[in-house]
Formats: sequence, structure tokens, C-alpha cells
Amino acid sequence: MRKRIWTSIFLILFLALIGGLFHNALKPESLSPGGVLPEIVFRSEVGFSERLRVDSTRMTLVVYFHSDCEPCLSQLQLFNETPSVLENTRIFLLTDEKDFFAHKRMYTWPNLMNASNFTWGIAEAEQLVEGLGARVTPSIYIFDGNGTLLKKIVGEIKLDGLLSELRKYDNPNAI
Amino acid sequence: MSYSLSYEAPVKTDFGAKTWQLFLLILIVNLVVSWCFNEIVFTREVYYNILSERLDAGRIDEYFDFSRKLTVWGYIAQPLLFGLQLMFFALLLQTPLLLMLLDIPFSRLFRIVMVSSLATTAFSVAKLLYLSFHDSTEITREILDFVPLSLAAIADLSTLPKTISFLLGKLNFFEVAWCFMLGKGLFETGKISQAKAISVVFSFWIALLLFQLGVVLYFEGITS
Repeated sequence: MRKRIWTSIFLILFLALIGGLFHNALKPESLSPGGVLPEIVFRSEVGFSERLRVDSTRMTLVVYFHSDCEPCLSQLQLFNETPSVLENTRIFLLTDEKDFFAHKRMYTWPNLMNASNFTWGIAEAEQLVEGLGARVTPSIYIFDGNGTLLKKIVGEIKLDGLLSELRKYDNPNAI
Repeated sequence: MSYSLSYEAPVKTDFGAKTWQLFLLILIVNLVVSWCFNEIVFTREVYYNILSERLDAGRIDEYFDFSRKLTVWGYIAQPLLFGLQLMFFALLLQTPLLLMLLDIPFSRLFRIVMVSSLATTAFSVAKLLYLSFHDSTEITREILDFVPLSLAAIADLSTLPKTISFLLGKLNFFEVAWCFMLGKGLFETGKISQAKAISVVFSFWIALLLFQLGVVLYFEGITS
């Protein structure tokens, strides 16, 4: 009898695990190509609350990162080494780490601090996860001047790859 | 008090070895196969072939060096992981049996599952042989994903979604052999009829397939 009870518990747990996996896997994406820029409010490095917005004259990149994630650090380092390559693209670097500015972590990438097209921001994790549909960091989103998502890139990408993605959308002002 | 009159075959039937001896033997074979995969197949060139579209050479080298460090831990953890996998499979196999009021000892099911895992090992060897015929510079993700003697091997996977490719890949000779060995092992306990053994193995296979499909779909959702 006891064996059958344990077996039933095991079966229920196993079925719940399968159900959970399918539920997560088949959940509709909150932001897919063609979707519009979500409402995300972030705190900038000077302490003001700002709303995520696109620049109508050029492409906008939104990068969701975390400073504990090695691929994120590598991606930011790549931007830092050649910031001029992306000077005609508006770039938001968003994290959900509350103490990111307090620990002055952005000074690890000084060129990104000085470049006018880069904006650092701290947003609520829920907003980033639900608004952007981000499940892993880094996630990179390419928006056009109307705020329409053109491409979502999951994981780090080399600069050539990112530039060719931007070129694909045939916007002469993008890069 | 009830007494069972059914014939219970002795545990030491197949290969005439004790369970722990068989476990050790299969584990060593699996370790050798894993080592061959790491040394012959997953070379730095293969990493370049797969990742060069996304990453710079320096980052690929970092990933390769990191994965090399992980493989050492993989060898160390393999006995534990293999044991846990067999225990999980044995538990899952025991579930429908107990619900059908058939009490086959866990140790016996563990041995059946372990002997059947030889089919999985044979699959790994076949895949290793297939990949070793390719020069490391020509190994791509498509070649790595190839499933020998499966429906996926004869289909054009480039046009199919990942989930369909996965399902076609699961319909292979080794999977059939695995199910056959499980069914045979159950039938040989003398406590279950052939028809029931087939239905138990089929439901077990479907449950595992759903679990694996769930994992594939979950990771596809994360990375897409």
C-alpha cells in the first residue's frame, strides 16, 4: 500500500514537471518581431526616471544585461572597444541590478560612459521580463524609428554579426 | 496472508554477472565513449565551425577552454549521473506496474533498465563512428545533430521545426532495441504477460518522450 502511495506521488510530480515544461515552452512570446516597444521605465545614472523610447531618425538597440553574466560582460566589452562603429545607433543598456550605479560598475566600460548614444538604466526585472519577453541575458532588441521590433538576438553576438543584422533592414542612417 | 505462486526468475540471468559488475562495465564503456567524443569529435575546429558566425575567435577559444575544464568534472560526475538516471528510469517503469498491482522488485527493474541502456551505449558508439568519418573542419551543427538509423536521417531537417526533427530522431533503431530489451526483461520476470509488458514499455516510452520534448521545447523557447 505504502509503495502505491509513493508511486502515485512520484507519478504526480513527474506529470507536474512535464506540465510545467510545456506550460513555459508554449507560453506566447510577449514581444516578437513586428511588436511595439513596451512601456519600460528605468532609472538613469543621474538618478532620473526615464521612459524607454526610440529615436525616430535612427535604429534603437535595447540590451538587457546583468553584470554577473560572463557573455554580457563580453558583449559590453565589445561595445566599449569600438563605440564609434555604432555611433549612429541609439543604445539603451538596461539591467535589473538595483545596486549597479551604487557600485559604479558602469566605469568598467569608460568609452560607453562617454559616448552620447549610450544610455545606462536600471529597470524592474518584471518590466524587462514581461515587456521584452527576455528569459536570458544578454538579450538584444533592434527597433526601427517607429518603435517596431525588427530583430531579437538571444546571447552574445560579435560586432560584425550585429552590424550585418542592422544592415539587413536597409536603413542607411542605422550605421 | 496471500502467497504468490508465480515463477520468479533468478536475478542473475543475463550476461551471468552481478548487477554492480554490469554497472561498472557499462559505466566504463560509457566513459570511454565520452572520452572519444571529447578528444575526436569536439575539437577546437568544430567549435569554430559552429560558433564562428556568432562569436569572435577569442571568445570561441574561451568557450572551448571552459568546456575542456567541464569535461573533467563530467567524467567525475558520470558514475553518479548514470546511477541517478537508471534509478529514475526504474522508478518510472515501476509506476505503471504498481498501478497494475504487479510488484516487481526495484532491484530487478534497475537491472532491466541497466541492461537495456546497452542500446543507448550502442547508439553513442554508432554516432561516434559516423562523426569520426568526418574531418573536424567539415563538422557542422547539422552533422552533429544527425541521428543514425532514424527517420530523421532520411528527412530534410533544414525545412522542419526543431520539435519535428527531434521526434523523427527519436524514431530510430536503437530506441526500438531499447524498448525491446525493456519488454523482454519485464517478460522474463515471469510476473507479466507479453501484451502487458508491451503496453507498460510503450507507456513508459511515451512518458519519457513527452518529458524530453518538454525540455526541447523549453530550451527552444529560451534561445529563440
